[in-house]
Amino acid sequence: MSNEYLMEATYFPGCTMKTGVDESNRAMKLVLEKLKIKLFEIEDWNCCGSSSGHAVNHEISTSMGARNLSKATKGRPIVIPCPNCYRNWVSAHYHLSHEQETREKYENQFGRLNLSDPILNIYDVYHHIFNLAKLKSITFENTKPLKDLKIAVYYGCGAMYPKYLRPVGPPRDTVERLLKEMGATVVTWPYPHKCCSAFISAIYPEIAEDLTTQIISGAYEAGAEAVVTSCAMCQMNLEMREVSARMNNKLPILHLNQLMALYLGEKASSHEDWWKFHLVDPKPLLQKVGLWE
Amino acid sequence: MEKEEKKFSSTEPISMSESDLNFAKKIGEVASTDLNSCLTCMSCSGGCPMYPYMDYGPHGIMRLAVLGLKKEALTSNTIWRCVGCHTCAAVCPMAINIAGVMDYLREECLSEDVPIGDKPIFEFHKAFLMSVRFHGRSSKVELMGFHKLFTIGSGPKAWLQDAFLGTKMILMGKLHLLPSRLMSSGISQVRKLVTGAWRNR
Repeated sequence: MSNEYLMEATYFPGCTMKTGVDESNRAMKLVLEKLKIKLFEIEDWNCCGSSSGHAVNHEISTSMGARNLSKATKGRPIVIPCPNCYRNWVSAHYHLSHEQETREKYENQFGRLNLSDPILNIYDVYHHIFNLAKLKSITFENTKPLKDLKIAVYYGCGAMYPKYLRPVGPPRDTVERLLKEMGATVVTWPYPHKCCSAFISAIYPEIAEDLTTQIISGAYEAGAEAVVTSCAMCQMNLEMREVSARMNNKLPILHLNQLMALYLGEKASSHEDWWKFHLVDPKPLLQKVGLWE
Repeated sequence: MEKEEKKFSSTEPISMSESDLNFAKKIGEVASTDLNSCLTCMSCSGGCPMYPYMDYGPHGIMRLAVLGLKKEALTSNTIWRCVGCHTCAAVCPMAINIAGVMDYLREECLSEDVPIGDKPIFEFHKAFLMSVRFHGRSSKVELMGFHKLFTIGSGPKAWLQDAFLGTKMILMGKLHLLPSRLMSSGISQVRKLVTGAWRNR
């Protein structure tokens, strides 16, 4: 049984995950290996168009999504760790499955598009796995509860969708419930969905510093000792602007994948290469709550 | 960054002589949403993270579109400072795809020859698409390099902005200096997609 996989999935890393926050990428691969999900990276994937693609031309994000969809193998769900990539993918998927002309145009260009398999965000996958664990269809071994960790969950704006993509509104309890399940204390705070200013951070750092100060001090005032996010871009932005802004209470920004890995029994000290890439060092906090061994 | 004073707060009457009354209808068709259902409840501006830095704000743009004031809408900096975070679209009680409307207005602004409301942001998008054209994927370091090159006229403050932090992140190995690339056939495909849709300006 031990070699059998629970699920096979197509994996789209995205540019930021690939060249900016490799530590999250590695942590995620390790976690999914433990959860018995086999990942197959899309062969020769391209950028999803990011914020700039749809900003200047609606065709760019649809066409790039179409190329990626043509590369995804049929029969495997597509796992996307980056929320912004995810939104671009589902929006391209929506347009391609609802507009016949567009679909035909890109099918002529790239071949059959895979429009039948579900596209999953990374926390949807974790949520599903935890549900299975609750139903006792799978069991986790050697788990280490994240006791004493007070944490603020930050989705970022990547969890916001136009109503035609997600009529029920943004996810409000998904990651919170995951963390509670893992034993952490989740604080209630005002900015789980506040945008970190995304690409504006590169052009007007002052705006990003303003927003980051609001977000981080909001988390601090609510009693959090760290902020956890699943968005690679948010993590990078918050950390960078936290360092460059004048503020007193700097909180470490952790990846959801890293916390998952710690919960599933990974030793923090044996993954020095995850923590050294953080601009605000999370090591003192991990030592304080007894996760460093 | 200074907070912008809102343009609609002036007491002068709105001049409708140049208004294009089909503007809202046209936007509605392209962005598949109905602008005339806007309640002016200002939820969009209330949730917008960039609202303090915009000249109209999302609800102002909705009003301009409904009144058909095309020129004001296309030359505003609101449409460029919108980060596309979709908070407005998610909170809108009438389910108007506001971020989609912003996308359409930016596209319209580029295709018609009107001045761009916020040049550095436009240069960023240009730099991004340049990087995608070269590698099929975006590279943060290269992107920032291009952006600095394109905005070289903005003075020494812009040149040095984030230079220290960026170098530190490259040296610590967080940002990869070399971009990750597609195979050459893939790159030419992606290049065709980008250049086909994007007219350089």
